[in-house]
Amino acid sequence: MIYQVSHKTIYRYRSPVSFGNHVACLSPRSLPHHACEWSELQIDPPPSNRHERIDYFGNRLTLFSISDPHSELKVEARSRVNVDSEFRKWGDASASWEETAASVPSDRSRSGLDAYQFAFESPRIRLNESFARYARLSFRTGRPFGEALLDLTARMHQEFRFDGNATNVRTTPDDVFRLKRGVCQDFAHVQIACLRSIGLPARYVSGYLRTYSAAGGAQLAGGDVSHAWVATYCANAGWLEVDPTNNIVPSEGHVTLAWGRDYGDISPLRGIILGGGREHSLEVRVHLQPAA
Amino acid sequence: MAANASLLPNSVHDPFSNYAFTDAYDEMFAAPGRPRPHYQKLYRRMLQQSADELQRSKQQADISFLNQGITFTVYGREEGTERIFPHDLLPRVISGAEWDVIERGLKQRVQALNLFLRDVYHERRIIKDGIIPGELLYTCSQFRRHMRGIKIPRDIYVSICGTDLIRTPDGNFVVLEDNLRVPSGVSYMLTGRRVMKEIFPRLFHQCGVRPIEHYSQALLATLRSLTPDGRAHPRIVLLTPGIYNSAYFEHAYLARQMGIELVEGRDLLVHDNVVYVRTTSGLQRVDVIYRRVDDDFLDPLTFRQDSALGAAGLFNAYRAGNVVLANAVGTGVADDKAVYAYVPAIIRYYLGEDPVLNNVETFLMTNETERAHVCGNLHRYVVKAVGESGGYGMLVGPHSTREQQDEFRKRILADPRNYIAQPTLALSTAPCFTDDGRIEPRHIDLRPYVLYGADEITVVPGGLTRVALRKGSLVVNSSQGGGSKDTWVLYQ
Repeated sequence: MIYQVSHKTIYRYRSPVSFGNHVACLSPRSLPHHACEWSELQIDPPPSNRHERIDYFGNRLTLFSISDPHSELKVEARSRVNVDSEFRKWGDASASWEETAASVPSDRSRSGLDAYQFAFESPRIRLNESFARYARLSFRTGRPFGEALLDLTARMHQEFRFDGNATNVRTTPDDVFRLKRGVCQDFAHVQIACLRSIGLPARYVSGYLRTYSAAGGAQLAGGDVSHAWVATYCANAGWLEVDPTNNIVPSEGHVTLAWGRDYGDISPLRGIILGGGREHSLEVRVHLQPAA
Repeated sequence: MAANASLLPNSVHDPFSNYAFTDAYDEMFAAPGRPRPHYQKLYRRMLQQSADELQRSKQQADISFLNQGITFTVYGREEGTERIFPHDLLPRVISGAEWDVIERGLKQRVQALNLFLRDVYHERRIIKDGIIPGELLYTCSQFRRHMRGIKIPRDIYVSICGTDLIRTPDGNFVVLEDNLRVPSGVSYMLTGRRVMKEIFPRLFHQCGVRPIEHYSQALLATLRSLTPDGRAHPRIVLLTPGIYNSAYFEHAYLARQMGIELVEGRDLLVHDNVVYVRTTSGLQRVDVIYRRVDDDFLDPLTFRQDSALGAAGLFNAYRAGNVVLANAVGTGVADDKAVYAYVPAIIRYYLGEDPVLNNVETFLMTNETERAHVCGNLHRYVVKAVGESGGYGMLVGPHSTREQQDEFRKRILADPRNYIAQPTLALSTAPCFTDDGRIEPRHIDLRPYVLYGADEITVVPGGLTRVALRKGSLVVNSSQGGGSKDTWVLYQ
């Protein structure tokens, strides 16, 4: 499946901004079976300088500054991504989940070492015993990794309600867990907290979601804005992805943008501005269209 | 106890007559009345002085400190926070032979720690080879993921370091802490020496004390050696968090000594990945920043967004190689107190040598057996938070109440990675003047300063000897009511 992605962000400031320094994480990663054929970032007003770099997690960042006074900042990321059906296909995840939890700390392979660093607390995801208790209801003794993971995802989908007004970007996983409400970012954070608190590596994946199924099935939540889901590491099968917001295993309908320990590592656009007044408004529009 | 008769001059006054010995190693006396060889000259001089003379010298020194405005700030107190730095008149003397060992050990340590930092931000061989657990790195708040793969000029991460040493009862120096981020205190070493020279002008020559006054120039040379290639006349600045920082006196002092600008974040501007300083003659490009601002506050775009102490975009300029920061970003991963426990292994791994200076025995609270043992015997241990410095967030077991121990036990169990424990050590003692004009032993440590430049490693012969001024106290941090002494390293 080939997609044309458009992700538009508009900041409107109360008074002019004289100088702005920004970092965008808006260019999709290129991965095996997930080719970002091209991508571009249009910035208005035109930046006085821009640089690209790859961050610690391998994501593509664009750094730019604007030194002309402006009261509106528009950033549009457009790209073409080819996702084939092999992408995200699970390997054999039938070994017990405890095998992964036990082997990862001493795994010296490249993938094992890389995965292990996602097994700990991160700035926005603090662990506690209640996440572990919740996870263990699915991750029962000796249960196959894949089966337990699907069960946890299904339970979360059943017990948490999608509610765009219940939380904001600063809501902690702890609060979401109590409220049992939130958006994709919140559910991803909670599921990551559950997995890490029982010793499994888990990372936060940002991207886009096709909001209708190819077969004309049900509408999925999380479209028209950025989406977020979870990947967890299974010693035999590698990274397994799940989408707790929709209770599905991501496949051709999900386009991966970036990944990190939590939202804070890969927020799409952040910056420091001089001026702008007390308030600003933010408008985000995402459009994902299957290409001809 | 009486002094050795052969050393006693005609005067009847002996200021050491009530000197009470403890189990600790005493820097001055091998036994009652028997000063160690390198203290002999000082000892005789003290015996020649009357109590009144000593008291006058002491007052003279206090006034000198006050007039020079040598102060520091104590956080977390309601009464005034800015203090005169308490200084003890009697110098601490180190023989040339002892110093040789210290110097060799410090150079070895800073070399190994720099190799370690280069490795953790690049290949991570030390983890792949199983020498230190990866967990230690990934749970360290000072591990800066942004630093991965960045090429640092000459691979020097730590160019300025202040290592805390103590002397144990067997007379050996051991390392208590590495300070690899923004170590402070060197200005007290320098100003303390100047005051001592005013008061005892002849004694320095008579005793054969090595000079330390070249420190500021050595620091400047070190910073200059890190200049990016092709910048023939580098502009070097000292970045301070500002007047409310506890070490602001030192920042101003060092900038003045080196003849470089003292700047705050708001004086800097980053444009197109180049750092500029605003001056009266317009923007001037900056090449090297001796920064006394913590990583977290350096650049709101990369680190803490609420920081106004740094400059937005500074890290990108650094990454692009257009400006050098000393010390580098992310050095805190090597002075994490849990990583400290592995430093001897780190030295063996990178240098293939045995450590010249040993560590203090350290218990990691992430280890279940060690944790259980320490939690059951908190009255015997010193517990420290791994990311803290300056004596904050610390429990000294033998001097703690039951409530304090319970509080720390709770904290350890809630967050084991954040704590380590060490046995309570009898820090060595040295004679100090007390407020009532007597001389009594007080516990001391030593913080020598190491400079690691592109051309050489310099350890200025001396350091800051910190004194626990309260009787019996083992806490020497100036922020916790400690003072200092001049440190004399002899030629012999």
